[in-house]
Amino acid sequence: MPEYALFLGCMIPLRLPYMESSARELLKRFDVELIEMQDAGCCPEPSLKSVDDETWTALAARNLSIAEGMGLDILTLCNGCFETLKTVDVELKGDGKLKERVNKRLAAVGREYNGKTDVKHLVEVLTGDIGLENLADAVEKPLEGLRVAAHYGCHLIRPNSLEVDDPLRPVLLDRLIEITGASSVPYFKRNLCCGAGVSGVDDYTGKALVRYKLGWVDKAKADCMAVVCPFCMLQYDLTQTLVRNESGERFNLPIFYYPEMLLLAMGAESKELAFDMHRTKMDQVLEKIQGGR
Amino acid sequence: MTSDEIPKEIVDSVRSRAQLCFGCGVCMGGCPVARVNEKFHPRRLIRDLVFGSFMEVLRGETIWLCAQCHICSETCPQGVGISEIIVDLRNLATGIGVSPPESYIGNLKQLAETGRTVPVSSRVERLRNRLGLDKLGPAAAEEIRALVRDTKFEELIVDKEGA
Amino acid sequence: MKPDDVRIGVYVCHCGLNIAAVVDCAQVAEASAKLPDVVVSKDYRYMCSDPGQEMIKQDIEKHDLNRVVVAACSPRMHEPTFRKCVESGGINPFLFEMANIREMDSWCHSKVPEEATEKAKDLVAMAVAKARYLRPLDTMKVPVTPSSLVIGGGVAGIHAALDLADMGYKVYLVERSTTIGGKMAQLDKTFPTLDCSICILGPKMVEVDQHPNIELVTNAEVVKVDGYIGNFHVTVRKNPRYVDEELCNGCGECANVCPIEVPNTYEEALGPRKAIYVQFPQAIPMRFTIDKDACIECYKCVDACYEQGRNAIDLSMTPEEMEFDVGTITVATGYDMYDPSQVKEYGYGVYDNVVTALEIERMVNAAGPTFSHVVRPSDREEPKTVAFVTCVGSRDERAQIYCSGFCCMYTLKNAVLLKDHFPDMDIYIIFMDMRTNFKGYEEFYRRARKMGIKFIRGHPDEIFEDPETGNLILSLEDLSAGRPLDLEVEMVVLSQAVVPSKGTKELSQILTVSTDSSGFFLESHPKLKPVDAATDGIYFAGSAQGPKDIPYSVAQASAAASRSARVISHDEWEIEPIIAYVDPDKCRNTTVKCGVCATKCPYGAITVVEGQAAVVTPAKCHGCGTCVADCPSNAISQQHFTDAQIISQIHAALEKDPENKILGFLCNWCSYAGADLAGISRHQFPPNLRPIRVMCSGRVKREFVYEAFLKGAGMVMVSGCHFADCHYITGNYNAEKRIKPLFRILERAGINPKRFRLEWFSAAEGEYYARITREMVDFMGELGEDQIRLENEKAGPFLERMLNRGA
Repeated sequence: MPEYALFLGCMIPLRLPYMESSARELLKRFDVELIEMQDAGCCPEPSLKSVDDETWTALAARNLSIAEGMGLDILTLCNGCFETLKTVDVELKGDGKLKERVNKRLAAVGREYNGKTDVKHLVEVLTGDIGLENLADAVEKPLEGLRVAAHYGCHLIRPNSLEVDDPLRPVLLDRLIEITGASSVPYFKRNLCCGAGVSGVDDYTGKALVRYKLGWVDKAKADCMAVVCPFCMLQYDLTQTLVRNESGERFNLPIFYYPEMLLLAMGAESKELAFDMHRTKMDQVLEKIQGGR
Repeated sequence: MTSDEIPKEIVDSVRSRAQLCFGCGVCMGGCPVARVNEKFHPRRLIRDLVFGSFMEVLRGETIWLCAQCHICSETCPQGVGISEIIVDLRNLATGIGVSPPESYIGNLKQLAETGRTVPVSSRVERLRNRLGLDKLGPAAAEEIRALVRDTKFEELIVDKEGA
Repeated sequence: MKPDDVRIGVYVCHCGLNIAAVVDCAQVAEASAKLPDVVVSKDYRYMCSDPGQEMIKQDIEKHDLNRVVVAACSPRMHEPTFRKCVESGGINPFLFEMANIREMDSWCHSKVPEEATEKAKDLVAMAVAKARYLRPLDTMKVPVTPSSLVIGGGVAGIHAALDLADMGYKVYLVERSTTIGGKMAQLDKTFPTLDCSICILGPKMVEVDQHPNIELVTNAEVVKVDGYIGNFHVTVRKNPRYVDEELCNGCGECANVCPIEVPNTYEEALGPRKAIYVQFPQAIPMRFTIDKDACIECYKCVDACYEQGRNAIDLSMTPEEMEFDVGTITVATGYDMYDPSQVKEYGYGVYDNVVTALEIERMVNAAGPTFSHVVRPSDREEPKTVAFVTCVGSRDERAQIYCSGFCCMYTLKNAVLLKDHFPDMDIYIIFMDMRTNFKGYEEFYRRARKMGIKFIRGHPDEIFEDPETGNLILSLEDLSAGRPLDLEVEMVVLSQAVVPSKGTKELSQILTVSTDSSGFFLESHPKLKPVDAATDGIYFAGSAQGPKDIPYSVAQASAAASRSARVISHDEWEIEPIIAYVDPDKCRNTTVKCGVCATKCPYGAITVVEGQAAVVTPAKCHGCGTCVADCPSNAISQQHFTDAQIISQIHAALEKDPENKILGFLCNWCSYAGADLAGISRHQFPPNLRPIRVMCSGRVKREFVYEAFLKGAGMVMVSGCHFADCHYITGNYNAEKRIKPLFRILERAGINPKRFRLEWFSAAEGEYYARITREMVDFMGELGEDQIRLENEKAGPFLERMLNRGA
């Protein structure tokens, strides 16, 4: 299995560390080694792209150069970091003049990026390097009967230039869910953004998007949702507790970070997985899963 | 750029993309924000760039409501690239002195200070400890500050008072 | 050798304001008057008009002219006009040359009138230079075979065949599938009159079958076409039916006993057919065919046929080839439907109740697979609500950029039919625009609204299936209301794009005709020759040339028949004598074994016998000039495009200020036409390029390029058709083989290889031509005149050596 430079970003290590620990545990079980990136910082976050896209590009290139210096490709656990790093990487690889300009700026801090690194999201490493078959083979306690609403998030699959999956009808997360023994249920407006990008700017919109999405997930009678991004996790796990459904009640829809699901299917006990750190209670769904055991 | 005038080539380069729009509204159908908030209307935004006042759009609040989910750009049959145009407009806006949203400023100030947008807290350190995770290394804030010297970022965020 | 007494008349046309608004025609005429051998030089408003042509004829007499140059539009436009004019004035029509100062000058350099005028002067000087070396030529007359081939038996092919047959000509109608009828036979009713489709088509199909002048060849494909207008030799491969057409009488007993059922493509796979089948009950010819892929060879059909006393089935049949001669060919190969499963977000092929327009057409049809019951595939229940979605894969840069033309109308028709059969059904049409151009169409739209069909202007970004009910939710913006809408319906009908018929590309190569950027056959001129191919003697009818409805297809069919008749009504047809000829004194095959020319000729027009000079058979030569350029002893010449004629143009083009000029060789069929299109489309670009027209890029010798740089050219471009599209089949391949090494050779000589370009673009790529011209001019600007001059000077001796070396 290949080694990766692990790019942690900001949200996961500093707000949702259980995502980091479950991802690390999962990858360890498949012999994917993760090497720390010294001095890596914020990817930087998309808001900077809107304010000063040249600086955003330079700061992203700085992170890329760190991995390049390590001779490794980058693995990210966050859709936002993925879009930032991969988009900048593709841009720099395709535009020699841009690369020159950016490297001139990086020279000020003694860094340089030559385009030798690739950027991957956890989903790519799971379905690519490890492969669905190997993942399926490791499942010992399939999550039978579990109805999961897959939420890809936006920046894993869009824009199309990220080349991970179909930008409007993706399949990878569905397959990942299916190999755990659970079923991925279709629901309306699956492509809808979680709203994290706009929730800071307009609180009303952020909450309305969570309500709207979870309303359709409920209609599809899903037991839970699976996400692969900390922003989506925050929106659905945390903001869920701040909104009410059409009848004025709580949604109570548990949100899994996918590695947690797979680890459960591989036989991990729920108490090993810090579910108490989730804001929306996971008790019901964990009972349903472990009910059969 | 601090003057009110945006060079014609730049306005033209944005307009020439917006001109491709033939008003089908596919962007509206898929747009998450438009679904739940009447204030955001990507089709109207593009139309206003062509017909209405470019500067009104530039200085307005609607361009900051886009969630950048890129569904519009992926489904647009004429390749208008709405979400990309919005990012370009945001960059132009901050270039003429429009203040980005407060939430941006808060996070980005944190970025300039510590290299990350989220501060390290003792609570998080306890959680990390419990999960068996290593302490998080520093994020080379000095390097970042050096890199952003004399940039719009520095001018708008780092040097800004308050937040 | 130029004849001693050349007396040239130059006429500069204003073309109204088309040329005169940009180019100072009087100035050009004045400057041209000073050219050696020019005896009279005038400018005039409309040279192609009666008075304009009269003026030329009178001048020929008055000034004893023996060459005429007209500077006006593209020769592809009016060369024939002026050739006729000078001929009636008493000069051989091949002593005429045109300078293209409209498409290639005033129209594309309209913002720089002074430079455009200078360019016009150059273009006239080039034409005059060539004119000096022109020789009188006699047109060849070839006999005409008074018969015609129509490829494709849909409504257009049927009508073209009937028109020609009624005129008394023998027509071969070759159809790829087992029956004629095409898409129209699949339709239920036709808009806007709601005529029953097969009812109006059926009798025409029978007429074809019974017409004494029509030889109907079905289950067959054209595999080879040799020859030229008046004399096409066609090879058709008849695929085996495994049923003898002479013996089969269509009784159908075989199908009754056949145990195998497969989806029937005629029914859009909604209904079955047997392995031995006719596509539909009105099939013509009414003969069965065995689908060998489905057949299990149980021989039940053979037994049944034997019992009928006919013994028509023969499982050992093999493909047969037939060959015949015709004078003209009409291509009426129709269209295919775009596969809507490629628009993933609409769920066709995934969601049961998302169907296509043709599928609903078959369902509504009383003789269709559901006997006019429109039902949802998921539960066979009649839907209470149906939404039609238009522009699926059309007007979409991710799929087809064009509008597919007739979908708005057939969507209206299908909705009207549904509403008529099922008045309580809630029917929506989701549309971006409603294109109802022709007679009765807009009224039909009004009728649809009056019936209560609901029109929602908008376009869905996605369709979602509710897994429990099989219902579909369309997400869109209701544009008229200005707000998002989620519309739930029980069934969705997609009106998907129309694409060129499968095999169009291959057929275009067999016929050496061009296709446009969307893959449809390309007409010779979009306005004035809408059914002609650029290749003489070949015509188009129907959707093969671009999506069109039935009345338009039928009109084109009659037009094509008329254009065919125009040729085959004559005993002889004149062919341009732009052919190759060998100088037996120079041919080296007399001393060593050569024969290079014969290997290069795609038409087998050259015969090489050991020890003798090569000989060109004039009637077979199509005039590409490849043999001329590849002959190692320079023994072959091409009439009307001799080396002297071309080199004189190079000299004239580069006489003044050569470092700022691009000398371009453009092939008549693709790149020259593409350059014309750039001007027709009014793309604007700098006027640095001086075009030299050749019939094919294959004609371009390396010596031309050396000569150009020797004379100081800033850049040189050789251009031709895209590979596989060459009008002369292999001309561009040979050109590339010959010309590509020049990049290295020129670099060795000290010339920046980026100053030489080899470009392949089609007649449809005007924008591309404009763009590369701009690129080349920018590059020349970057290098600078001085650098260019320096490089040319340095390369001079090397280039002279290469030229003196000969071939």
